[in-house]
Amino acid sequence: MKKSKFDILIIAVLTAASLFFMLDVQSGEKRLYLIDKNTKEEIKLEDRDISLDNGHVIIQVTSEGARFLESDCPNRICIKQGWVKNCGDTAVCVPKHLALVMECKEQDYDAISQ
Amino acid sequence: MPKLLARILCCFLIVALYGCKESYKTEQFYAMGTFVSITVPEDDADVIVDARSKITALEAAVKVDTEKFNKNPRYKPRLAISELISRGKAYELITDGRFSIYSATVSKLYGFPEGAYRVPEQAEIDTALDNISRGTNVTMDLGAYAKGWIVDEAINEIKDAGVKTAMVNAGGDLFALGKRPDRDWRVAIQDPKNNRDYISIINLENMAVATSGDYERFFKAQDGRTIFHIFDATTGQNPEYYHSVSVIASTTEEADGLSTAFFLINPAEVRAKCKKLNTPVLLYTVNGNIMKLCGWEKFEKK
Repeated sequence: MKKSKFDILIIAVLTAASLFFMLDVQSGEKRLYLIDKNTKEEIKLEDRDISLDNGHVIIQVTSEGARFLESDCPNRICIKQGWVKNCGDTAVCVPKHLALVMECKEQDYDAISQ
Repeated sequence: MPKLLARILCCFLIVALYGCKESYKTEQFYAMGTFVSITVPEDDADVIVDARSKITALEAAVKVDTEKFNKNPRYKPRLAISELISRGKAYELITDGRFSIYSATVSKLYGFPEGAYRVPEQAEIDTALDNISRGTNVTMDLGAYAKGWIVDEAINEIKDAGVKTAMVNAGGDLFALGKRPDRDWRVAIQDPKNNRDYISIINLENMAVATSGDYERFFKAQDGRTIFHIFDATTGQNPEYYHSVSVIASTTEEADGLSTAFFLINPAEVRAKCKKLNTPVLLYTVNGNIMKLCGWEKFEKK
């Protein structure tokens, strides 16, 4: 079968389009998770406050991300860690076994050493 | 017809490209006083269960044997734990006794690990230091490097199952097994002064990194001082050189133990020791200087 220039053009365009689409999916996907001791659940990014029964904990969620707003843990480290917005951001409350993490398909690093 | 051929070719191409992009499964859970995450290729996800139960079992073994020893110093721990205990000697030698598996004898006076926190009287500290130097009436705590050992054992479990690439991360003490299909594993070292920022990003393949810091476990004393969880076993006080110390080594146990040991000695001593041990080090000093020693730069992302 002989391929015309037109065929090659179609192949090129479709390949470029599919590559573009793939790359876009890889980098664009951002998911927020709440880890509560052993369970990990996805948190929908929409404006609201979540209150948990592990003592007193309030998590503020927006369309951009989330943060620990209030907590009765001793050092309030989770609150000081601030907003979890970008790929790889985390806020951890070790005394209460809680963590917020933002995971992305493709990020600059696989882990944080702290 | 040629159009159809183009479509078929394109589909093949997409499938081939997707095939190259190996996907990973990560499980996160709470263990060893921190969040642990295990990452393996999706096809090898079964091994996570075994690695996780290994971690739980070893954590319990360390805890039980430590508690029994602390109640009765004549208690003989099981072999793996008594070997772990004796490996602590290396860190004591490196630091001229500033590191001790018995430093909990003094840190517990301050209320570590769980509170209530307070600043003890000097007389209490002196008694504790005396006990540490004589090895009597001591409280043992292997926390400075046991976590690293457990990460290594979890990695061994994963390796034994024939898995070629994985990462086990216990609150920043981690081992990177093999590499990702397209690159090495990448690890960011957190800026101790800004937790959304990083002071270095390194590439690891079959290597471990661990970080010790003054910014995660601490309390504020009434006089305004911040007191954190690492204590010099010869003075009973916090060391005053760094906000964070990161170490790259061939095992997580060594990276973990050395990050605490180096925290206790000055930069010139660290430079001499890391050269001997061939372990790259990143120091973030209390005056905000970042020092890269013993080949740290070689691991940084290009």
